[in-house]
Order: sequence, then structure tokens, then C-alpha cells
Amino acid sequence: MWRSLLLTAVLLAPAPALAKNVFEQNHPDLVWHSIETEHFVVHYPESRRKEGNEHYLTAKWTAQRSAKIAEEMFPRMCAEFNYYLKERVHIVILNQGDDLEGFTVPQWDWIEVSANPGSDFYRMRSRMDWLPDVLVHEFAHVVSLKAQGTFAEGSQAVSIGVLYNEGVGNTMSGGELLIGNNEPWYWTEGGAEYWSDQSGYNWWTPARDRTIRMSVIEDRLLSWDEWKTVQQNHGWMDGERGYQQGYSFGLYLRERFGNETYNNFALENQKGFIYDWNDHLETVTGVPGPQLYDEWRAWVTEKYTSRYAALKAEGETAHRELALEEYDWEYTDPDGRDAFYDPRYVRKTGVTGPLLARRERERKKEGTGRYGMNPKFSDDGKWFGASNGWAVELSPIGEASLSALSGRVHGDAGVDAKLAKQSVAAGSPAGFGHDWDFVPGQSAIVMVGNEHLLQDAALGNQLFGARAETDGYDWKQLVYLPLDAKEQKEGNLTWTGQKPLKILGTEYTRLPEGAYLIPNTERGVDPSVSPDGRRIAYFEYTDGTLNLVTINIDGSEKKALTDFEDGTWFQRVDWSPDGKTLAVAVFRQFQQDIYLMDADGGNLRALMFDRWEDGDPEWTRDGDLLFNSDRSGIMQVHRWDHETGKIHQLTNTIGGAEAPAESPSGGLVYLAYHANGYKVEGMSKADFLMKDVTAEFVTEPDAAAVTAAWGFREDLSAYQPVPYKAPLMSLSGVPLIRITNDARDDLSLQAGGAMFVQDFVENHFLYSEALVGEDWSARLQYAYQGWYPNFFLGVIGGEAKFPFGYLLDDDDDLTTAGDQGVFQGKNQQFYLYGLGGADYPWNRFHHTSLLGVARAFGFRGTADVDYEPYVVGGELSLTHSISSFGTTYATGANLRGGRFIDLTYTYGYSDIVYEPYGGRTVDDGELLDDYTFNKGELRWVEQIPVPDWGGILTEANKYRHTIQIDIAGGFIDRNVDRNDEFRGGGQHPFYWGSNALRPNTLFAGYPAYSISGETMAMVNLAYRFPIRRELNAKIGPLYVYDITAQIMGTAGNIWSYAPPDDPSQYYRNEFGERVANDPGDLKREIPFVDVAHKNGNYLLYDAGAEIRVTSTLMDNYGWNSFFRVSYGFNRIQGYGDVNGDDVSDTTESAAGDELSNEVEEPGFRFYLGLGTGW
Amino acid sequence: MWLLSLLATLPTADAAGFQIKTMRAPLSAVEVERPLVIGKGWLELGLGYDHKEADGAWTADGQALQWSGARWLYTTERLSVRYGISRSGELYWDVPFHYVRLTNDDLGTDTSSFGIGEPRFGWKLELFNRAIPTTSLIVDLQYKMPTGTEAAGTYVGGPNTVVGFPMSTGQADLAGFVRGKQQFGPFALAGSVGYVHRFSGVSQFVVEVSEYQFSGRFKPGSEIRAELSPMLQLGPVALHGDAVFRQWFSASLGTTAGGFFVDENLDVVEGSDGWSFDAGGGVVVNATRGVDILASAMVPIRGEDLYFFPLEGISPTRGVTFSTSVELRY
Repeated sequence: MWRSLLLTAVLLAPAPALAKNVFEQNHPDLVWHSIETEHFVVHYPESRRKEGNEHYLTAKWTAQRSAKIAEEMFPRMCAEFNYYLKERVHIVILNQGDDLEGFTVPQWDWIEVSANPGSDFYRMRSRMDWLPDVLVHEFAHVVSLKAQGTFAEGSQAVSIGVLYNEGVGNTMSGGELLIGNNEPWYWTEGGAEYWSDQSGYNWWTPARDRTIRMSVIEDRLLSWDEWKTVQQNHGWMDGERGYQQGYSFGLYLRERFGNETYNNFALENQKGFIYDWNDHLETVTGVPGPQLYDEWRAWVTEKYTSRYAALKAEGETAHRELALEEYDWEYTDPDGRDAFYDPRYVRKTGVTGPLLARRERERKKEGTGRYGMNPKFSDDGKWFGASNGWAVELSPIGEASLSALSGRVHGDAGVDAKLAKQSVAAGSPAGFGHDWDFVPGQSAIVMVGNEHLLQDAALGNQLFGARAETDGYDWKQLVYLPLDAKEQKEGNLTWTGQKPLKILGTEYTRLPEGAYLIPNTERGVDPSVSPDGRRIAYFEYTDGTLNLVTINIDGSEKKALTDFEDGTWFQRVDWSPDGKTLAVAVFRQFQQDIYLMDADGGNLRALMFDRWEDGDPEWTRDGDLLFNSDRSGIMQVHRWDHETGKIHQLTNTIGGAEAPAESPSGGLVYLAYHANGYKVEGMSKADFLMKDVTAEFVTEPDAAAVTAAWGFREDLSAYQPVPYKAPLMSLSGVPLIRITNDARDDLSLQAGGAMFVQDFVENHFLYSEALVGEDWSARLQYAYQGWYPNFFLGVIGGEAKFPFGYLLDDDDDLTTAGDQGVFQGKNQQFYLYGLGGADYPWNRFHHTSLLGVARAFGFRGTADVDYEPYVVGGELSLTHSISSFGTTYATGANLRGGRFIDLTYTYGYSDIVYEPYGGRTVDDGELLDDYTFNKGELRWVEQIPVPDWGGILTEANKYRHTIQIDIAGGFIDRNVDRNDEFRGGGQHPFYWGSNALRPNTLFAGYPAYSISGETMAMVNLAYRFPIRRELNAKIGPLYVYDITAQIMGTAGNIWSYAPPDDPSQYYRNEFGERVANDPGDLKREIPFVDVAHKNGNYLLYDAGAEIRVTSTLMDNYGWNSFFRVSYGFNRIQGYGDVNGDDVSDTTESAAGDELSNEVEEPGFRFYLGLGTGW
Repeated sequence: MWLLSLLATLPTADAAGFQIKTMRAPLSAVEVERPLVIGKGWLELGLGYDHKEADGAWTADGQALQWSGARWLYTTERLSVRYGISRSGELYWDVPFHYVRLTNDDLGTDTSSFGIGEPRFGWKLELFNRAIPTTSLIVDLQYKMPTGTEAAGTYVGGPNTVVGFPMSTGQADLAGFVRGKQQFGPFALAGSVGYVHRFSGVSQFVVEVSEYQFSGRFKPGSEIRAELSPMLQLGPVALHGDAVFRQWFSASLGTTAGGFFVDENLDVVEGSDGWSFDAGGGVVVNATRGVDILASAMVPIRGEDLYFFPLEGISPTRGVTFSTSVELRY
């Protein structure tokens, strides 16, 4: 994976202090080391904790091996492009988590990979040798993208933005365009696969072949438009499909045009910017891109239809899908799914077409497609289960109820249909892709969970993410889960186990009673329980290596059966029926075979030692061993006969068969790859192929070869670490061009840039930005992110010029003509902020920030030599933020099922120092000089799926209709200057420097900042629904994904202090302003009771509608746009240029003297954002 | 900028954050061979200083006008950044600051100001390039931004009453140039021709006096400019001569008109058009591939209709400008 827009995203984010890219949480317990080679520097973490501590970690071995691999691959990959890097590339090894990571930002000479490949890498790609795989892939990105880059590496793109505010027509329009490298991802990712092959590190493995083979056979290849557009919101495995289509395309071009064809696209591109990168295809090959795609498609189609024909000629084994849930269609035979697209079905259900996302349409068509993996029966044959994504789905039914094995079909009494109503699902995200097992003799399973599983499952945590991180770690850990057979009745439904709790249409899962984490199994995966139900065999992870471990089911008597420190990897262990032998797949030094080992840890021996990729061993009840092998080029299930030593191929299907388990009657269940997902299939014993293939396996390997292989130790002594010196990434930035109209007749341009630098493990982050134009602004911010909490410091400053119009009325009576004139003025203002603070991330959802701000603001008029400061002051704020989306800047088109909450307390101080006013100002009739104030503010945005309460609501829920409630409330404990008050009104999301609140539909029907005061109570209610989901259509330069609509309305107001009306209670100052004799005569307006005198209303109302379009521009850049229209129902008044005509009328008003005499009549406001988000 | 300033203190070019990059275009060590765009991947920081003392201007009939007792010092402290964003494209920023001082012995006034001037942002696109001998033909688009203060510190201008000087016209320019360079062994000849369009803008130093002394609108005269610069390279030193011709059109003044066409109320200022011809020369020392030191002088030869106005960009006075700068390149 590579990230090209990362920098831009970071730079344009309003809070670069939180820009840490990889680590969700910091790890202050780590010390970093570096290994330097000629062309690389490899950084790795090591815990300051002592070995033996539950969270001790190191990645030294992984780093050393990475250094060696990197130097070996360097000349080969550089030779591919004749592009030999002068710059050193830094590789950061991650080992803080248990899941796969691998990305590069070539311009920053930065590769980051995890030491641990996680769970299902092998199934996706075959060949379990993670480090060479990932490093050569990422380094291929580095070289290829550098070699092809149109733009210099110091700047990935130029950002051009426009914001045009038209006050009379009430429109606010913005647009943003990034112009940068626009290579398509099929070339980028498929190319990295291809060049891994070209440089001799990888090959077209059976898993890669399977991906494209089944996509061809099941008509699921990505179309030309899908394929060349950066992937987003596509269906199951489209990401991997895109990678391997790209790889296959490279192989096709190599065969047809020669080795260098893929590389030549890079050489073409670096000549200069081109609107459509794909034009290079024609330039290089002479064949237009779409035509080349069609011809490649014909090539792979011919290849795989031939392969399928050959397989059928051998004898395709009969098999059926095991349906783990009820189908939506009336299923009478396996072909019945096609009825989904039958018009009769559409008429009956009304469910099809654009309102369903593509993946949902496919799921309905394809049934159980998803991550159906690791199927198995309990030892007593009463339970059947399979993992599906992160959960294990279990059903208390026997083989006779499974149509695929019983021969009966769905719809027959007792078959399949009840599964959904009688199943229990339990799991943890950590369990994704990992094996699990029943506990013999008990109604329970053991699976892979995570350290915080029990806390995570608590309802309070699911609702509010309340669990606090202790040290940032949440490693995998084995978990014991009882299968609660207690039945619960609800209407016509019968639930077995803990029924998920449904609140407002959102399901909250619950763990069964009696679940516990198995002690001492941190970083343990793929458990298998012994036949007596007392002991577990599993794999334990350390530093790029797995070792085989056994432990009692209560976490006692842990015993390591192997002690590798060299990257050896295991996959699936299983106890023999007599409990004496373990079968395990071992991946080591490019050998991938099945081994047997005594259960007490001795006598490790190879069952076979050959060039096939063999895995997933599973014993049968009579002591034979099932496993899968790619011997035929397609992964198929084989059986080793323990008595004869013979090996028979059992399955022969075009999608292949993996992870086999025996059914009680001797049949098979296994996972099968389909173009729409891994599915669980079943096969009766009578349908086995039973082809004797013993001769093709080396079952009696040469002892010397095995010994030599096992005795091999890679010499890594040349790669010794030195302390990490926090080297900085290459200096880079984004040129910024901003065009705005700060007055109707002055469209001005600002030009500048944002620059940024950080060290390679992201402890230090330094950001600067400068823009100059008629106005200028600059900011410099530093964050230290290597500890709890993050610390940040910054300074922001600038000058701005404000042209304005002024209506002069000699007699202060607008009804008399002839004494009025409009004149222009222009002043200059400055602002300066110093800020510092800390942010404590409690967990992924909660963080608390302490922010201190010192601020100054002043004016310079035409006759002023120097600036006159207007106000100086400062604030200290404590904010607790909750975001169930992981970030407060989540801006999906249809966020649902979560919330943003910001609760802020601020203590502030302001001192009015403007000399022309005598160092004081008048606000709401009070003379203000210096004062302190307390301010409390709450913003709560709740995204609620329409409740699944039946009827039309259920339909709305199904189609992802969402209710959004946006509440803003606040209280300031005294009258303050307008600059300290709450402000309301419509904002454009692309309002630089203003940090427009998101969502920003609160009172979008009124002018920006037009509502103000010291007490705020506003609520916005929105109803959102997709118009088209996953449209996935090319429209001009756009590739459009989703179109979403929203209707919304706001009610509320901001109340202030009212000046006294009784002339005896006030006097007029030298500017004619009304000033209360006694500040106590000011009346604090009571919300919902008093008229807010500043805008003249008890309550304000607005209503509006919005269209959101998510799309990609020029195949590569996320470009989300919106159009909003809002209607403000109330006539309002306020400060200055209320009606937006750039002419301020400040003749005396009856309402309040500092208010203008202008009003904004009820009417529409329009917002347009092109590429700005919403 | 803060990072670029580290350049001077870096012990090696491949220190962290400043690695030598493979993608960088070749760059000749000598000035005479360098094309007119900086080349892909190069980042250049320029720090410059211009010094001009003048005691006169040009009259409407092209005569040199000697002020009586007045001396005008106009200095520019310049920060410039050039970045080769692609193989044939360069972005550049030029941010000037000025210290100016007007001394009038007759009036007994001595007035000075310092502040940011009018930054320029530009894009150069190379249309044709050939190396050794170098041929370079480019288009240069440039936008001038009115950042500096426009107020003279008084409503009524004049050397006897102002307490400061404007640093900006209050309006923007958009300019386009075609530039070329041809090398002949150690010689090279560079030249350009272009047009500077000046938009109107509300300017604080333009004060309407009929009503309440609010701000007026100003549109300086647009300009045609031509330059010629022969060069001779002697080892690491390049000597060059420079000739610049500028022709202004008339300026306009007035108040802003309502509606979209805001210039409708502007009146042409009779006699505000004019021209000038300056010539000079300089030296470029190519100290290393990453460091150049430059020095030059420009002498006003002829001109007309350039009465004193304290913005050298639109009304250059009659005085020699001495310039020096250092360019740091990474």
C-alpha cells in the first residue's frame, strides 16, 4: 500500500498536532534503535520493560533480517527502472500491534511494515514469507513512484482553493483542486506485485491465480473504470482483485510487448503532467487503454475457461454451499439465487437496484459470501460453526440439518432455515481470519480475542467507548466462550445464547456468561483444544516468529514446544484423536509442509517435504490427516492415510478448497473461494475425488536435506543496532493557492505553502504554513507525540485588510433621501495567537485536551502609523471529546450509529485596550474594560440509524436512512465583548481559518456569524438517506461513488444581555452609544422566554436540503462535493453588514446601539462546495 | 523558510531532512549553462538586498529633474524561494521588505518606514530546452499581491505631513513574459518581453476629499517591459550586462462604482503614462553548485513622466540601484 495524499491530508487538517499517522496511541515505554546499511536505515522498537513482562516487545530480529533483505533487493529493483537511489530509504518496523501493516510514502523515503503479518495473509497471497514479500512490494513502490513522478518529491501536489461569498444573492461557493501525480492504482499496486516478480522475489502464486480465476469464471473482474480509479467503497476483495488484476496485466504486457512495458509507463509519465495517465498505455504500446484492457480480459478469460474445462475433464467434485443464514430469496436449489434478479422477485419485495449498495446486491445474490472460514463440527457432532469475519457463528444442529451434506435442500423442514434463528455469534475483531476450536466435552469454544475483550463488550463501552487505555496495547489473547444453550423467546423468534441488544436499531453484542480470557496467552493465535478438553495448543508470537505452545485451558502449565527466533511461521495446529500427536503446518525458509510432533513437544518430523504449499492440517476421527495443497495449481483438500501412507486428493473444484474439517459422517466441510467471498461448502463422502497422488509428494524426505534446512541459521551479525537519533524525513510541502473575495469587488489571491517535517517514528512533528496576498498569515506548530499525553506548541499570526462600504445618512433617517451616501473604507487588522497544550488520548474514542491561548487583536486605519491593539487576553480550555468514529473529523457522506461530543470549559480574560475608545468598549450597553469570564459549551452530534421497528422504518433502516441530531449549547457567566460571545450562522466547510463546525448545518439559513450572545441553545435535526449507493460510474472526469441527500432544520437562538430602555438608566457616550448607568440594569435574556434583542426573535428557525456526492477526480483524488439550500424563516438584525451588501449601516437602531440598522429578510441561502467535502 | 535557513548550518548535504534526491534534475555549476527554470526538485532560497539613493525623477519631457534638498533612500530586503516542481515547471515566491527614508533639508523633515512590500508568486513553464549549448525558452506568469501597508499615516499626503510611506499600491498585477536564453560557448544572451496588467483596487493612500476622506480606487497604468542581458562566463564567475525598457500606460483614479464593473467611476490621470530605460551589469559568482553570490548595479538612462511617488514599483525615481544577494540551493 502506498499513500500519496497523506501529506496533503495532514497539512490541510485543522489540527496537525494530532497527525500521527500510524500509531493510534503512543507507546512511551518504547525505545527505538536503528540499523544502518549502505542504502537503508531500519528502525525498530524495543520495550523498556523487562523481558517477561506481559507487554515486553522487541523487533530486533525482524529489523536485522529486513536490513539484509533490503540490501539484497536494492540493486535488483533499481535495475528494473535503471533508477538507482542516491537517497537512503528508512524502514520502520512496527511491533506494537498484532496486525498487518505495510505502506510507504516514497517522497519521504519512508517504508513502514509490521513484523507480524497478522492472520490471513497466507490465504490471500500464498507463500508465507512475510518480510521479503512486504519489503519488496513497498520498495517497488518507492522506486517506481519516484521514477515516474511528474512532480518533484518535495511537493506531491499543488492545492488550489477558491471561496466566493456573495452577500446579496446569499451564496457561498467554494472549490478545491489538487493537481499532482495521478498514476492509477492498478499500475501502482499491481506494478509492485509485478516488479516483485520481475526482481525474482515473488511469483504468480496459487492464491493470486485463484483471485483472478474466480473473478473471470464468476464474471466479477473490475471494469476498466473501476480498475483505474482509486479504490473506495467497492465490494468484497475488490482491493485484492485490483492488485492482482494489475499484476496479471503486467504479465500479459510482458508476454505481448516485452519485459519493460510496465516500466515504460513510468518513463513516459515523468516527462510531464498528463491529464489522463492511462494515455501512456497507448503511447507505449500503440493500443488504446480500454482496448488493451479488453484484450487482456480476453486473454485471462481464455486462460481460465480452459483451466476450468481441464478440471471438469478430470472430474469436478460435487459440492454445495452451507448456508449459515436464511436467504432472502425463495431457495429451492443452488441456482435459485439467480431469482434475485428475476423481475418477479423485484415485484414481490421491491428490493433491488440503486438503493442497495453493490456489496449488498451481491450478498443477496450470492448468499453467505463474506468471510466464511474454518468450518467445523463439535466432537459430539451436535454443533456446527464457522468463523465469519471477526465472529464465530455457531448453530446447535447436526449434519442432517445441513443441506449441503444431507442432500436435502433449503426449504425442507428443519433444513438451514432455522439457522439464523438458532445461532449464536461470538467473537472479537482480533479473531479475524484465525482458527478456533470447540472444547470437547464442554459446550464451549476457544478462539482468538483481545486483551480488552471483556471490557470492550460491556454495554457502556459499546455505547460510549468508555474503556480507557492503560498503555496503548491491546494484543490478541485466547478467550474461552461458553455456548449458552438457554433459549430466549421473543415473539416468534427463539434465540439460543445471548441475544444481541438492540437500541434504536443498532445491535450491541453481548458475550455469553462465563466467558473469560485465558491467562498467559497474550499474542496467542489459532488454538486447538485437546480431545480431553483440558489443554490447548496454539501459536505464540514474538518478533516476526511464531512458536508452538501448549497450556491448560485455565491458563496454567504453559509449555513452549518450540523456541524459534528466526522467522519460522506456523499455521493451524490440531490434536490427533488420541491426543498424543500434534499436526502443524510449518513455513520456514521457503519450505511449507505438514509436520507431526509429539504432544509433549518432542519428535518433530516432516510428514512431507516438497515444493508444494501444504497447510491447514486437521485430523479425522480415525486418525487420518486432512490438509490442503496447491499441488495441482489449485489449492485442494487432500487426505493422508495414517495406515498406508497414501495421499488422496479429495476435492477438485475450480475455486479450490482449504481449511478442511471432517463431518460426523465422514464428509467434508471447507472454505471455498468465490469471487464474492470466502464461503463454507460441504461435500459428501461419496463425492470425494479419491485420486491417489502419493507419488507427487515427498513423504519420505531425505533426512540430510531436512536436517540442513532446519539447521540453517541466517547470519545477521553484520546488522547491529545503534541508538535511534530521530532523523528527519525529507523536507516536503504543498504549494497553496487561495482565491477569495473578502469584499464583493475584490477577488484576491494568496500564494504560499505548507511545509512539514517529522522524524521517522513520528515522535516529533513540525508544521509551518505561510500564505501571502493582500492578507498574509503564518503558523508554526510543534507537537511531541512520543508520550502520554501529546504536547503541542504553536504560534499563529497574520494581517488582513478589510475593504468595506459605509452608508452615511446625515439625519439618521433612511426615509429621507438626498442626505445619504455610500463610501468605501479599508482598514488593516492583525491577529496573533500563541498556543500550547496537551492532549490525552484515553482510547480511540475519547480524548481530553488542555489548551492555553494567548491572543492579541488590533487595527490600523488609514491615518494610523502603527497598529492600535483592540483586545489582548487569553483562555485556558479543558475539552473532553468523544468520537465513536475514531476522529472528530470523520466526514463520511452518511455517518451513522455514532456520535461526536465536545464538552468544553473555558476560563478567559480579555482586556479592551483600543485607545481611540479610551481603552474600553461598549457591548449590550455595558462599558467593558478588562474582565474575566467562565464559559461552558456542549456540542453533541448524534448519528442514529432509523430504528428497525418494522414497516417503513425497517425499510428505511435497510436502506441506511439516518437521523442526525446536532445540539449546541453554551453559557457565559457575564456580559462579554462580541469577540468572546457565541456566534451562529451558516458556514462553508472550506472556510479557511474559521474552523467551520462539522456538521455545519446549524442555522445555515442565516448569514455567517450573524447571531451572537452569551447563552446558546440550538438544535438541528437532519434526515439523511442515500439516493444512489455505490453508483460507481464514470461521469466526465469524475468517478462517482455515492449520492446522498439530507433534509434538515434548526430551531433555537443565542441570547445576550439587553441594555436598559429607560432613558433614566443610561447615558450616551461620545460616539452616541447607549451606556447603562448601572451595569446591573442590564437584563440577561432568558432562553426561550425573552426576545434576543440582537436579532429580534424569541426563536429562530430554518430548514434546508443538501445533496452530497462522493467521487474521485481524475482517477486518483478524493473529491467530495455538496450543494445546500437553506431557508431562514425569521427576519434578523445584528452587527454591521447584516444584509451582506458590503455596505454597513450603523445609524442608530432602536434595539441596541452597537447594532446596525440593517436587517436580513427571510430567504434562501445557497452553499456550493466542489471538492471541499461538506 | 525556517527549515531552509538550516541549510547554512548543515555539515553535509545528506543530513537528515536534506538528502540528495535521485529525482533532481541536473544543474550546471556555471551560470552561463543554466536554463531559465531551476529544474525538477531544486529548492532555492535567495536572500537579497537592493540599495537605491535618488535625488530626482524624470519630467514629462524626459528631462532629469533634480529635487531641491530632498533625498530618497529605497532599500529592499528580499526573500525569494524557487522550487522546480516538475521537469519543466518552476514555482517561485518573492517576498520583499522595504526600508525607505525621505529626507528633505528644505522642509526639515526626515521620514522613514519599514515593512513588507508586494510579494510576487509566479509559475515558469519551459517550452523548449536544450543543454550544452543551452537553449531555454519559457513562459513566466506572475501575480503581484498588495500585502504591504497602503497608508501613509495621514489623510492628506505630502512629504511635509506624512509620517510613514505606503509599501503597496493596494491592487494586484498579473503579468506574463516570454523569456529566452541562448548560450554560445562562454557567452549567453538572455532576453524577455512581457505585459503587466494592473487591476484596480481600493487603496488606502487614495483619499477622496470631496466628502469624508474615505478610500478611493486606484488603477496604476499597465506596462510593457522588455529586457536584454548578455553574459560572459569566466571560470566560476559570470559577468552580465542588463538593459530594461518599460512603457507605462495611464493610471486611473476615482471611487468604486456599484455593481460588477467597479472601474466605471475611474478617471484617467492625464500625463501619467511614461517610459524608462535603465542599463547596468553585474557579476554572479558560482561559489558551489549550491551557493551563488550575486552583485549588480542598474543605472537609469532615460525616462519621462516619472514624478516622485513613494512606490518604486510603479514610479521609479532617478537613482542607481545596487543589488547583492546570496542564493542557497538544495
